[in-house]
Amino acid sequence: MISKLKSLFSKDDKELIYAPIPGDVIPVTKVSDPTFGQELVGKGVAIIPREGKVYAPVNGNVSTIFPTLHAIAMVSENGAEILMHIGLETVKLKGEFFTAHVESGADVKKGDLLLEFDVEAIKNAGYDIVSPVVVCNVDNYAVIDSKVDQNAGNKDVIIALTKNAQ
Amino acid sequence: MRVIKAINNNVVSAKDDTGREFVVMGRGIGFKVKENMEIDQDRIEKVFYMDNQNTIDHFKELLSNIPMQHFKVSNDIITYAKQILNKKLNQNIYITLTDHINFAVERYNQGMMFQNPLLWEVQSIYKNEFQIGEYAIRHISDQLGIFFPEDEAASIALHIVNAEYNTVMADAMNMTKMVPVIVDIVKEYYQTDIAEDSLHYERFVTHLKFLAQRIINRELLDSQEAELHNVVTNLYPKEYACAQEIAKYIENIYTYKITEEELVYLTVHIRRVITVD
Repeated sequence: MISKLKSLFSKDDKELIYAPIPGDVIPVTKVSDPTFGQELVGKGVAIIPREGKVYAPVNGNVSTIFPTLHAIAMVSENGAEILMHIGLETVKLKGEFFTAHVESGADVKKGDLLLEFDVEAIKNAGYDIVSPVVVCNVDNYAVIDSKVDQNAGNKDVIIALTKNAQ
Repeated sequence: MRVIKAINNNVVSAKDDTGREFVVMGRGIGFKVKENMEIDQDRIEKVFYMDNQNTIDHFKELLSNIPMQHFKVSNDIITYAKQILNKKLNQNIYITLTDHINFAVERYNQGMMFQNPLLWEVQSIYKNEFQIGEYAIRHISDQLGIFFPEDEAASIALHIVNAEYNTVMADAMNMTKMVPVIVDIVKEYYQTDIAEDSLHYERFVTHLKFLAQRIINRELLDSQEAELHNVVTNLYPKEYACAQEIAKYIENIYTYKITEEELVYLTVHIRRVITVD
């Protein structure tokens, strides 16, 4: 009982995710694409980028860089699976306007530069640049809080996770 | 509501002002009534509307050829099932279950009892329905003094499944066989066990039951959601490969190709059941 109470208040059960892309943070449910808007792959936020850079939102491991470089997934050191998807339908760009700075499997620290992309070029090519950042392993958390913010940066928390009680 | 014909003392067929025929049950409702007599409203316990005249005719024929007690027992079981499941059941259940119980009682009286080869599968996949089947055999023993084995509970459960999913018996049996095989493919693929009492297993099985229903009824989801497909196959390549194994099995046995959308949903569900803490 005591240990259960302790775990309720211990820091280990909380995990914070910082903004990977500088920009304005909106609820992911505002995204028009159903894959993200209806939270089919995860819960979280979407960022309207001010700058075409993706920084690691947590310490952890880069689990997947999509072959077309438009999305990157990380597993945090505490086990959160985070998907960062730059723009909507941008798989069709086949990697154009994206530059990766890490490879799949790399261990990274919060704030490390992972990926760069050309915001204006992607917009001019006719794509919506709104970029979902979602936690995919939602079943492992009792609470997934997301924070809407103007002009967020890598120091700002966008998602707070609370683990299921064991 | 006017009488068309008394089926027995407690059941009549009747029609409303529009001429639509239905069956009415109530104690003494058919006693000494004649065609076109107004039905005594106070005696009505239950009204059975069926989809079409054929079904009504079938129902009337069944009711005039079986002991009323068998129908009452069947009716009680259906009422209980509706409470437990809290959803609409296909009205045909009044015919199929009544017929089944009547036939099972006849067989019992002749000393013939059949085993249900799907007893274990029904017990593990259709838990609520099996619970209804267990209630049914208790109720039958109370009311008719006949002691059916658990196999009979599974058979009754499958009738309930049909009424829920709008399938026929052969389909319900296929659905029941399909789900555990899919679970086994996943266990084998990951060389792991899945705790059957967990919420995630429950959710996974629920997804599989509806998938099985969509396969049987040839109604697979197919919306060509390209973004979802791209994200899921990149995020979960191993689970997607496992889903493709399942698709192969379904194609081999049921000669039906699983759509990409179903594959993607299956992938997400496999991921959940495999990775949860």
